[in-house]
Amino acid sequence: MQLVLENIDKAFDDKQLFNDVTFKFETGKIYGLLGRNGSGKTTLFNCIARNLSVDSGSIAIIDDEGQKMTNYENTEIGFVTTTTHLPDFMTGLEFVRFVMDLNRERLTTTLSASDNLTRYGIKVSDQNKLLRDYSHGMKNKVQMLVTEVTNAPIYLLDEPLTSFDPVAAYEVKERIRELKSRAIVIFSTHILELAKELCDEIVLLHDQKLEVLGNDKLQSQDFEKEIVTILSEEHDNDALS
Amino acid sequence: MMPYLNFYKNYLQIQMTEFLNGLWFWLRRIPLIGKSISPKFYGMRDLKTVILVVFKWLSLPLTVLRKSFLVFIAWLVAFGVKNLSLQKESVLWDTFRIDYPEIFHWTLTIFLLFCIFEQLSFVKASSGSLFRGIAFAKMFRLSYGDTLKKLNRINLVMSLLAYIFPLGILGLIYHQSFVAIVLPSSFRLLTLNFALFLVSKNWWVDILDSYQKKIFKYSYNLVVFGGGVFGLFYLTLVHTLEWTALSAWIILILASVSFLLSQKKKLSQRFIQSIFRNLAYHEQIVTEAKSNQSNTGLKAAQKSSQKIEVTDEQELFDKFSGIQLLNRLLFKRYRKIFKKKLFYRLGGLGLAFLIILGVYAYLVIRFGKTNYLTFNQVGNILPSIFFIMYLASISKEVVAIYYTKCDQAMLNYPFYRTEQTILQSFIGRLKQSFILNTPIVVALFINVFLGILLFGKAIPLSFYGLIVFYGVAVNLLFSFHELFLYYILQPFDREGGMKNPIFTVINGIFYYFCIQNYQLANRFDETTTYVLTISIIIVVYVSLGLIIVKLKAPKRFKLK
Repeated sequence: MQLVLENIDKAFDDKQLFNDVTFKFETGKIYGLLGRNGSGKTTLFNCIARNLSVDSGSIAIIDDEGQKMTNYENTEIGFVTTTTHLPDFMTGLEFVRFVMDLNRERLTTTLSASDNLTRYGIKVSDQNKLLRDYSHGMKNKVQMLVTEVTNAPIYLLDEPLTSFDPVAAYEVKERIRELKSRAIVIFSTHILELAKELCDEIVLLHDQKLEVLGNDKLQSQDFEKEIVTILSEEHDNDALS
Repeated sequence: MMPYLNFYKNYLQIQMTEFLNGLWFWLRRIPLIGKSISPKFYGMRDLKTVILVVFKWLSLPLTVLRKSFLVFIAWLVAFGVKNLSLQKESVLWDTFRIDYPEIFHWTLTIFLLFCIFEQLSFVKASSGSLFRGIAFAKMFRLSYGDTLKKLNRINLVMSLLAYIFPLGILGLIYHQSFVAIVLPSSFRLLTLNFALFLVSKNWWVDILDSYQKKIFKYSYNLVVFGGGVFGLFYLTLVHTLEWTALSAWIILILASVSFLLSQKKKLSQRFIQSIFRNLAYHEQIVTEAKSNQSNTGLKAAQKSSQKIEVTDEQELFDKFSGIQLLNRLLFKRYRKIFKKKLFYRLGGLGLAFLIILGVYAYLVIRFGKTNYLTFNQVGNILPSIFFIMYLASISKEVVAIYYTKCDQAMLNYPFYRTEQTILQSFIGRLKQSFILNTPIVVALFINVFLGILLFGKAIPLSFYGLIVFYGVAVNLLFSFHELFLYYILQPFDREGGMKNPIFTVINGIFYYFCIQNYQLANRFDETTTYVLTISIIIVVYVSLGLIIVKLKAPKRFKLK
């Protein structure tokens, strides 16, 4: 499966975020999306997830038979946002159970809702607490869990590991690695070490374009320096213009 | 059928769960008894299901009653129009009858129009049910299009079931049960199918986008709503409309065919994105409506984020540093708001100036006499300046801007809460507030002087100096008071809402003092004594206030 962006443009008022962006993401890889603050990473995710429209160009999914779908469903995308979007007056267990009931045909797990929560490090004693009383990290875990179990062929993870404790972060990293065998995983992060550790390919969003960082650079000692240099160039150009 | 039932069961359970959990949460917060209420309820899923079933059955009669009321309203309109149209010279209530067949037909016509209007908000991508549906789908990882389609169909079925009872009664009264039940039900299904067809097409979103332009909006409203109302009256009063079994069958067949055709129709992506866009707009309106409930200064400050001015600030950077620079930058960048407020207030006072001139000209032409005001009468005018300043002073807005645009963030830093910074900041802001209020006070006193010059010729010039002193004192009071309370009580919470009841009480007392100033003025025999006393009281209040600020503000000026 492929996620194909073709000649996409997107601007908010005077700020041009993407200019004629063309890129292809493929199943079996974890992509790390890097860019400076305000470069449009979350906007790109929202466009792919169909929450925002692009000004021109197209975003399509090409399945394994080579069939191109520009009108794909939002359920094709598992989107984990930085800010959690959960019902306050529902317990963690209730929420996961309802998500699993409503998405019965798409589930990737045979475990119960409670077992799934335990798998993500949420203790049984916390499962019957209201989500409003969960910590930010726990909310993130629940969000990650429901996105994972609803089996999307494309996962967009917007800075997913920032609020996890070390154990949960390790487990979620393992989950992300598992996902790549059956899905396209794109995650944005500002932590370069994490990107290097987890990603098969680094995609830079800079100068209103998407650009792959060569594999040799990903493995090199100067990876961090390389990224900083490229992204600083963009910043300097902006400052000059 | 089963996917729909399963979806609806879950949908109801989710609604009920959130409601019951919310209720339980609220009960647990009641003082004294709250502590004894166990949180174990949150985990009792089976109990909640039982409550849902009981609640659903109990609410059934209520739903039917609500729908019956709507049918009754439609019937009442038809009944009234028909009977009143038959009255020749005067209204004779004893001639009113319910058995005119037109009443039945008109009732159905009104109901059908209602069905069309109901679907309009759906096809315009801007109804509350669509927003809720999208939020639901997003939260539970469901397909947006599929969820909206399911919810609409389920709502239609539930609504039709509830309408069967009132429509059946209507049919029984007019001996047209089949038409009364089948025709409106089929028509509702038909309009929904037609709406689903529209929203599955990308060109429909182009029409919607053009609808956003005002000119189209007005013509659209005129054609659809105006045409609908006109059509109803035309059909009912000029041509007697008749809904027969044949028309019911035709609509039933059309509804069934369109249902089959719309089965595979999917909502277009562009339509869903329109819902997202309208939802964002709707949320903005809701936020603004909430901010309208807070005080006027805060409202202006919250709106002001769009009005920040980029200014040439190099001069300020060269001249000032630290807290002085911060305050001056803040002032310069938000001066557009202050300018606008000042413009309206000075405009009002300019109008008062013209009115005084007009009255003077009229009196001169009509009576030739102009010497109306005595020394004491001028004294009676002066207290009203207090109340006018209470309304016209710009200090409320200034304080709110300080909070929302600066202090709300800066108070998080310890260096911003040191005694020296707070005092410097207070004095600097007092000066700025005084400068901003000065044009208002000057304009106000120009009106007073104009009045005295034109109507009070016997008043000595020495009195003018006293009034200027009074003006400075009043300006000082209104520039100081709001700022003083802000630094001592800091009444806003982190979200910008008003938190401190003492602030409200003191402001109420101050308001009362401004109104009752007339009474105070009456207690003085001499105007000069009143002006001097009030001015001295103000100076004492401000001096004491400054001492209190120095002693207390460093401890009390913090985030709540």
